[in-house]
Amino acid sequence: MLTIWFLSGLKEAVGRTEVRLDYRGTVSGLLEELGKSYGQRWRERVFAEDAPTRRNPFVKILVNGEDIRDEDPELAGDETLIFFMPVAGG
Amino acid sequence: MKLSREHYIRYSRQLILPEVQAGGQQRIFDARVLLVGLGGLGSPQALYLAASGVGTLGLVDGDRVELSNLHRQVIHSTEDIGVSKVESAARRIRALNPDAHVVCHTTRLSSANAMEIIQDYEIVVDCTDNFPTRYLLNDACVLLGKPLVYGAIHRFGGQATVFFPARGAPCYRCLFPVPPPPGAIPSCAQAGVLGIVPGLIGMIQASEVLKLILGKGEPLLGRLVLCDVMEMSFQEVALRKDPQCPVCGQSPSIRALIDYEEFCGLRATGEQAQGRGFVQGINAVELARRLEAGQRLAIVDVREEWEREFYPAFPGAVEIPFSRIESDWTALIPLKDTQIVVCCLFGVKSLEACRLLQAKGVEHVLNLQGGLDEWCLYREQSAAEQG
Repeated sequence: MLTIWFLSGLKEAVGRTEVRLDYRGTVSGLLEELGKSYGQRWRERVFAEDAPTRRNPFVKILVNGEDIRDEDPELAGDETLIFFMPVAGG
Repeated sequence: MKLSREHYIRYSRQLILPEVQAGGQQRIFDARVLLVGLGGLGSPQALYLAASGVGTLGLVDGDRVELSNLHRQVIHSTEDIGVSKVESAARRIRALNPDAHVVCHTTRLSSANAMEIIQDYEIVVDCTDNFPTRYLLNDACVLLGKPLVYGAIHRFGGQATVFFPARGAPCYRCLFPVPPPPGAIPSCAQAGVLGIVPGLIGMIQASEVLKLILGKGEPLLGRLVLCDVMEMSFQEVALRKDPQCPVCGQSPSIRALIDYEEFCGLRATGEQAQGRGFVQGINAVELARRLEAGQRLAIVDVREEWEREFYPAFPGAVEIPFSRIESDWTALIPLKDTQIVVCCLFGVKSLEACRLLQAKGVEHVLNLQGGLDEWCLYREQSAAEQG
C-alpha cells in the first residue's frame, strides 16, 4: 500500500491529508491515476496548463523523503509519498 | 546593555533555564533580528521576540493596518486602522518591553533597498505574503550570508524552515527553483486563512530565531515542517542543497539582486507583453479618472453570488460569476470592441478571467488590480479627503 500525504495547497484538491492506495508503477502514472479519482481540481494543480501531461515544476513530490525533482521513479507499492506546493501567505 | 536587577526579574522564568541563563539572556539582548512583514506571521513574532528580550528588532513593511487584517495580525488594534503597520507595531513593542530597540523601515522591501536594510542584522525572518519578495529576501540573505527563518501559510496550515547556505543548509531556491505562475497559488485574500494559523507557524519561526541566537537545540536547517491544523498533523521533510542552485550552488549565476516581479511573471518582458497570456492591469485611481472623464468602459463583475454581499456592484456592471465564465462569456460578444474592465473581490480571480476572455478572442480587457476591496477603499478615502 502506498501512503500519500497531500499537504500545503494540495489538500483541498483531494479533500483530505492522508490517502492509502494500492498502486505499482511510475510516479507519472500515479498522477494520472489520482486525476481519475480527484478530477479537474487535481489536474489543474498538478499538470501544466499548456501541456496536460507535463507535471507542474513547482509541485514537490517526495518519495520516502527524497525529492524526485524531474525524475519519474518506479514505485514498488509500499512507499510513503508527500505532495506539496509552495504557498506564500504571511 | 548589561542585565540589571529588574531584568533578572522580568526574564526570571527564562533565565532559570540551563539552556539560557545570564549568558543566553545577554545574547538575546545583543541580538539584531529583522522581521520582514508585519502581517499574520510578523505580528506574533514581534510580540514574543520583544517580550523575550531581543535587543534590536528591525521592522519592514510598507502597508497600513486594515480592518480585514485584525483577525490574525494580533500586534495591531482596531484603533490602528489606517496607521502604518511598522508604526503600530513599534508602539506596541515599546509598551510591552522598553528594553527593545525598534528600528522602523516603513517601506516595501525591494531590490533597491534590501541589501542595505538586511546587512545590519544577524537573523532575517521571512513574514512576507508574496512570491517575488520571498525570492528577493532569499537571494539577499544568501548573498549576505545571513540565516533566513522562513514561514508561509495557506488556509489551515503552513510551512517553516531555516534557509542558511553559509552553514551548509539549502536556500529557498533549492526547495522551489521555479516560482508558480501568477494566480496558480491563491493568496490568503483569495483562499482564506484561519486566524490562528500564522500564530502557530509564526511561533515555529520565533522558536528558530531564539535557538539560532542561543546556539542551542536542533535548528530547522535542511528540515521543512509542514502542518495542517484541521488534522493537527505535522510532517517533516528533509531538504537538500541543490548543487545547481543559481544562487547558492557551486557556480552561481545570480550574484546580485534581480527583478523579482519579472522573475515571478508579474511583470511581462517586452516579448511576453506582445504575446498571449499577458493581462494589462488598471488601478483604482486610473479607473476613477477614466470614469470621470466619461470614457466608455464596460465593467464585468466575476464575483460568485456569495461574494456579492461584501461590496456593492458597479452600476450597470455585467455579472458573470467566475465559475460560469467558460460558458457565459458569450454575453460579452456584443462588447467585443468596447474596453472591458474585469473586477472581482481582490483582483486575482479577475486576472484569471481576463486570461480566459483573451483566449476566447475578447481582447480589450483590463484587470482591476486589488479588486473591489481596493476600489471601495480608494472611494472611501477620496470621499473623506473631499470632506
